[in-house]
Amino acid sequence: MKDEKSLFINILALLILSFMAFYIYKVSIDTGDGIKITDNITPQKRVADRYLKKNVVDENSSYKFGQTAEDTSANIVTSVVVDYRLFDTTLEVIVLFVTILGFGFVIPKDKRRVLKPSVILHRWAPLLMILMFMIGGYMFINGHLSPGGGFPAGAIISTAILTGVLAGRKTVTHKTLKVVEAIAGISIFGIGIASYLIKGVFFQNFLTGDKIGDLFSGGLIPVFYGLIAFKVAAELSNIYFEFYEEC
Amino acid sequence: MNSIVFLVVIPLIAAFLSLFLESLNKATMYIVTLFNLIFSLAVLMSGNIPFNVAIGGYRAPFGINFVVTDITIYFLLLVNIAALISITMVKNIKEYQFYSFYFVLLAATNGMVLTGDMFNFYLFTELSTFAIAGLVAYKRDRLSTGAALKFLILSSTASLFSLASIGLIYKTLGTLNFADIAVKLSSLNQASFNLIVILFLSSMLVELKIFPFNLWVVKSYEGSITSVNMFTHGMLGTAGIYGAIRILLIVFPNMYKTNISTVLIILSFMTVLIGEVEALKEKNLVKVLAFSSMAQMGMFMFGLALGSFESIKGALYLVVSNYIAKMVMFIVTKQYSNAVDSKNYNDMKGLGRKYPLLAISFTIAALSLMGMPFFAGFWGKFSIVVSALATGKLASIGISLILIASVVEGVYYLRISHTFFSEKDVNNVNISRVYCLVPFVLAILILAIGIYPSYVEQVVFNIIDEIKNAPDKYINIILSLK
Amino acid sequence: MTKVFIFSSLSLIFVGLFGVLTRKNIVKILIALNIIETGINMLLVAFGYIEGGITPILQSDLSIANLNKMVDPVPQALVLTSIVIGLGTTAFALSLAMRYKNTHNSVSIRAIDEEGVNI
Repeated sequence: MKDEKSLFINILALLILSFMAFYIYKVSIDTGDGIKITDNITPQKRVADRYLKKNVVDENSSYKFGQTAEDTSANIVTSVVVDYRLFDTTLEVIVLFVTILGFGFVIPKDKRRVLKPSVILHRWAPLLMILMFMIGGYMFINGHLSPGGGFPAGAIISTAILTGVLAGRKTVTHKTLKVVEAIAGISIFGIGIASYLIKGVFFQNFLTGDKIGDLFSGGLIPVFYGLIAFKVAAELSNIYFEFYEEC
Repeated sequence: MNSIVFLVVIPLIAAFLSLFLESLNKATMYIVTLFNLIFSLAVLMSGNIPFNVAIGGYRAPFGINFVVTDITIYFLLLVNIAALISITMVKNIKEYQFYSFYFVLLAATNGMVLTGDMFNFYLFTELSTFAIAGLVAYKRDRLSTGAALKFLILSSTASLFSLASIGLIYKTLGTLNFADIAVKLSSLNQASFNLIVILFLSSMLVELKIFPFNLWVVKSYEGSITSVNMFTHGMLGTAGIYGAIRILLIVFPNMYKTNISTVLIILSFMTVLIGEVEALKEKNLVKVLAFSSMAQMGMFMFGLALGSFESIKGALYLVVSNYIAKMVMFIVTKQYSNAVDSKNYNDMKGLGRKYPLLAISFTIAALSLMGMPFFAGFWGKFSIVVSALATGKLASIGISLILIASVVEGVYYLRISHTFFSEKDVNNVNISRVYCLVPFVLAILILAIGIYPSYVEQVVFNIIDEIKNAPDKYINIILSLK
Repeated sequence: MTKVFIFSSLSLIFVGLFGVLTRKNIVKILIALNIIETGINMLLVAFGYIEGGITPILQSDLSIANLNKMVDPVPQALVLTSIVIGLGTTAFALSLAMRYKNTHNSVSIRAIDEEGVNI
């Protein structure tokens, strides 16, 4: 402790936190009636039950593997993220957009010295990048079948671009990134509006009839995940450029 | 009425387009804002209210839904009118980021008012937070950077609490829909309910500018340009008030049976006290407005926390009067401080003689905030005081506090008005007369509401009616959709 | 197992809150914010966990027969969103911190904001 003021603040913070911890403990041992936060509640009592059984629209429907259903994504987390609660995901994309925009807006543009990359990295970077692109592409194409999806795929693709930047191989320019970002963003909402024109409901999955477990299943899910992957990749690459570039 | 989603989607598409539009951005800004305003007016006129829209085609507790009821549509109009008035203050801004932030803020505030889903509400709140932080940092100087950083840290810490509360709601009740939560809430344990409400309130209070969480207000008002102040006040503030009314009164109505409302009353006292005392000391006109808006929100919270319908009515009147009056004051402050190149009101001597329209509008707004009879704010304070008289001991302290606060407000606002009209030679100052028009029209509106409150009375009556009959007017509309 | 998850995530949240409340260095505050966020994300996932649960991914007809054993997919979806929000907050706040360092010549959150004050 440097001085008395910071000691006082630390003790105060500890008191506040111990009060909060005590309150949470009191709530957790409460014996009143009703549902408590410590109760063991299985997903069957929640809305998740209908997501797992894929019977939100028709209560009595059931489904089998390899046949069509209400939502044909095999990964149920994906079907929640990109189908049942798709609007949340589109907003999440906007959150990333606006924060990266703010990032580029306020970051001070001072001169930075860029070191010349080593020859080994320069030569081997393309191989690494191709591998990373492949993994990223696999992630978003398979997002509805296995763990993964648009966001991790975008992160992996942007890492490939970062490797290129570090190796002195500039693959894309700022302008391209901006265009990719805007086109992907507008397309996400464009598909939403298209679904309004076709079905009369925003963001409805209007490609139906495919089978659970197929590579081309899930209707619009792979399309959305592809768009999200490109958008996230463009935005994250923007951060790397912002940090690395000589202004 | 599925097309209501356009209110959110069109501004978001405009946000992406603004990266390329360069000089066309300003025109786009007007087009999009006018679209939103006209669309919400059309919804009001269409007579379809209330209705419920399931996004993605999945019905209410399972998918995300937008709900339009009486409360929603009035607040939607308030947000969009505030947007239109605020963007008339935008001048000579070249950076495309400003416009992108504005479009995102417009979409987020519209979405906050429309949405019927807890997690969706949280996301819209986060979006508006980021947009406001970016807009506050617009000048990128010392003051605005500090203000934006502090606002960002404070609000993201608070929003983490509300995320925890959303997780607890999902764990216990198994749903995220407002109406479904309201139905299932009766089966929840009382202590667990308190914990959930406290966690969620912590993020609501940041937007409502209530005491322990309101230190960002002054800095961000001082550090940002006038149009951003008006965005913060008219759009984010109004959407936050909507959230408080919807969530505290309709989703968590059990709150009034617990001690939480008492805690809220005490916090609102502190807010009023701190706001008024600091405003009395302050010389910087923008800071005076910031502290005064804190105090007004404290009074709103007091009316809301009392929980009787009469006091809620008063709180709604206060919202309307504060909404218009602060708008007038910000415009006047901008014109005067640009003219003399200083924000200290002592430097603005004599401007009221040369440009009386602005100073008269300011005085009318000030009188309305003080709660003089025949001005819009009178009905609000009157209703709150009347209903507080009927409540307990704590509420009667509130009466004296409100009355003292009105006197203090009178002292500092009339002091400022007096400074405007005092004598000084100001021949070298020039303000375009066109800009005097907007505040004057708004000031006339304040007078009109004060003298003929019947139209606003009808609106407030509709809102109170919805709160009284929440099961019929809100919950069944959402959950009956099969 | 659920209790272990909840206890450890709560302790993460409290450690982070202590950091946010007491540290002066902006970068340390942001790190503390990230710690709270990790704690909250873990808490949400723990809320959806059930004893002996399996991943909510359909692989064959067998997994459809075991739907009752699957863990709750909704908290995982919420966490996916909240991770992205956390990333955005951190990036934005760090760039603001860099600007803050330039304008204030200090990374202390208590540096005075008004112009013309020497630190």
